Amino acid sequence: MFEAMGLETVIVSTIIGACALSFGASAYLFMRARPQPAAKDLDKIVKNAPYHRLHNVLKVEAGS
Amino acid sequence: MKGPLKFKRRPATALVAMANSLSMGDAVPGGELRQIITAVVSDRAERAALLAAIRTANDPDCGLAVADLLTAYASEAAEAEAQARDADQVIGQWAQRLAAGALLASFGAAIAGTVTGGLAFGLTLLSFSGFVFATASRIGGRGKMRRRAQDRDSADSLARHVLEAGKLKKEGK
Repeated sequence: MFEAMGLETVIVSTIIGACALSFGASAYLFMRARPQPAAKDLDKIVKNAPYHRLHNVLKVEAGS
Repeated sequence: MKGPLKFKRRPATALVAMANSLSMGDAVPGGELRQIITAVVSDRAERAALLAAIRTANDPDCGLAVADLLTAYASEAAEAEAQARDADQVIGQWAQRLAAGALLASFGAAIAGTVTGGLAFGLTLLSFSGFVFATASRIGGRGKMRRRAQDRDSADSLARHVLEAGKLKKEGK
């Protein structure tokens, strides 16, 4: 089955396979390193934090 | 060090509010809490404001709850850092080695004359670009790893300082 394959075919397919694996692994690493998108705007979170729980503990201005 | 009597609404006070709310049994969305802690930990002004707020707070357990949240965040960051390091050492390093091996193999095949002409040139180009791509992705991954390590260290030190601030408040200094 493999006897008919020439040396050139074997070498070329091996190199292309190795490159494909390497490209795939690098693309995976790139995807991992991408920063996670923020769930919500920080200003909105700060504005809507549960300040009413602080009434005896800490005085926080009502406005932003 | 005495803080102002009334604090503004800012990430540091939002963190104290969330910690207080959690200790009273109210749920706080995990994503929002993480975002607020990231904002506090990475900004010097917010760190100072948090310490001043803990010093001014009337509840001695408030600092404890905040310090615990910060420690939990630090261990989360350490876990993310370990995962990034694993990915870099297991996947990144081998992707780079594979591409370098393919580059050498294509040189060898071209020199020996097994592969000739445009095909040899194409193979060399392909493996060279694979090597460059692998190196770039490794640099990106290591940048993330370093950021997480920095996050972990800052959160750890801030948690220690928050506990100190709580102690000073208790002793009435």
